[in-house]
Amino acid sequence: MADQRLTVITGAARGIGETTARRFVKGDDKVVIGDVLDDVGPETVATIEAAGGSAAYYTLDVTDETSVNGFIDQVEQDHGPIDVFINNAGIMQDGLTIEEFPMADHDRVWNVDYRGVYLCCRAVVPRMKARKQGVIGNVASLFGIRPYAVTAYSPAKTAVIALTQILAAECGPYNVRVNSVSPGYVHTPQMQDRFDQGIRKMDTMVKDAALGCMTEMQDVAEAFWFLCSDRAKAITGTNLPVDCGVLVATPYNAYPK
Amino acid sequence: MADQRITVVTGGASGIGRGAAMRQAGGGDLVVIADINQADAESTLADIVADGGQAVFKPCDVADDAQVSELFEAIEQDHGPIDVLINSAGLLQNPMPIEETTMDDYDRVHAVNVRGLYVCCREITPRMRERRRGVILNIASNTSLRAFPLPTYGPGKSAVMALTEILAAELGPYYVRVNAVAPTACLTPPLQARIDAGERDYDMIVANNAIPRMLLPEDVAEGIFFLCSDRAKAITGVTLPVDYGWQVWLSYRAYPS
Repeated sequence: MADQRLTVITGAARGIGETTARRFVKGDDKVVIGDVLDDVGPETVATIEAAGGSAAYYTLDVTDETSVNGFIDQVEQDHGPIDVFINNAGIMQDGLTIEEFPMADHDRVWNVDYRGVYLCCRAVVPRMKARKQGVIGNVASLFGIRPYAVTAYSPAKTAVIALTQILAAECGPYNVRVNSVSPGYVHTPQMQDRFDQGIRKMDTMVKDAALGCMTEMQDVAEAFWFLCSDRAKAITGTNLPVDCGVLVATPYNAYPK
Repeated sequence: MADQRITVVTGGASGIGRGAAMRQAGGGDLVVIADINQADAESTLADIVADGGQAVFKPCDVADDAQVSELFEAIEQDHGPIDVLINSAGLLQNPMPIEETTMDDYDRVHAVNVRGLYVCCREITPRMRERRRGVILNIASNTSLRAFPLPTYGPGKSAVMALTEILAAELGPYYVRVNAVAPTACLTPPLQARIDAGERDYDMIVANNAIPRMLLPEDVAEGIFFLCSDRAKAITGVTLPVDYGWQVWLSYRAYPS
């Protein structure tokens, strides 16, 4: 199809990125997945294609400038102009105090969760500006909106929200939109592993949400699908929480006697 | 249709309310337009019906507690349980310093924009709470978020945003979602009248947006439609800017040389 949209999603071999990839495929986009998980990514693409969708997998390390630039060159060479770019690649950290959390781990979180987003934006923005067309979606976090006990992850996600706003302003005159989605507690397979290991508790996460549930990966995918569609053509520079109401319930429930 | 949603739009006769009424009806809802302006309501009704949608008109002044109470009673008696309430009834004010505002104007704007919206929520929440189902959508404003020379209108819209968050927390445990949209200057009849009278400048309004376009009621309606749909089932307590990037553009553009 000549006018099929091309959507690139980083870190989409599994998890929220994979679910988002499947949502965009369902909406008839061709989806390119860039990830470091070379053992999982091709399988994800194979199942998408087996179901009649159009997808491709490329190795991408968002911490490596050469990898990022090479990836975007190669994708456009192979598939044409990128219409939608979703910065989803990210890593979590354990809840530790500033002095407990090693600097090597701190740097790793920032390299993936912020610098990786910055690098990808830096590579894709000039192309979209030149074409006067494009949409960027960033995965921020509830933790980027309020301070949580994750001393690298939380500030890095705040930085993603700030960058989203700056780029929305910078790219607006070129008709390029930039938004972020801030998931709350998402029920990913990785989170389920942590429940199973007893590291995290589902009960507390559910109790913190006004709607009394965890955010499903599909909920995040639907938000990106809307924000990246033409129906949201008037929406840029926003950060949309998809958190089952954790942001509002936390202060509401904490009101002291 | 047994499972047709019932959506009430206050102020649905014109402006953003009209856009929302048209969009919700286009999505298959039975729309109840609650407004004081019968002539505009009938014209919107005719347009909805011409598009194959379903709508009815109920006269209601949201500044009158008794009328609001009767409105919801009558709607549920005639049509069944209300699924979605869109609080769009609102008045504008002209820019001026606080001492030039009259308290009569203040009282009139507050009675509709804040107290009227409050009363509508207060009438619907027990019903939705009991049914453990429902969505409330409020029209906030870019003035909810930033300062404008609108000392009457602006703080009232900040209050709408605050109430949105409180009600989202309060009603979350009953699966009722409460969200708002924050439009920038939108080409509604009162704005058009001010542009025609030379009080506002179309080009200057457009130049205030990162994407230099005039915001239209149908743009806002798309944001409303998404937030009121099941696709946004994990989204509650948010105020979504629909503003062509107005919010991010002002500070970005104002960076001093």
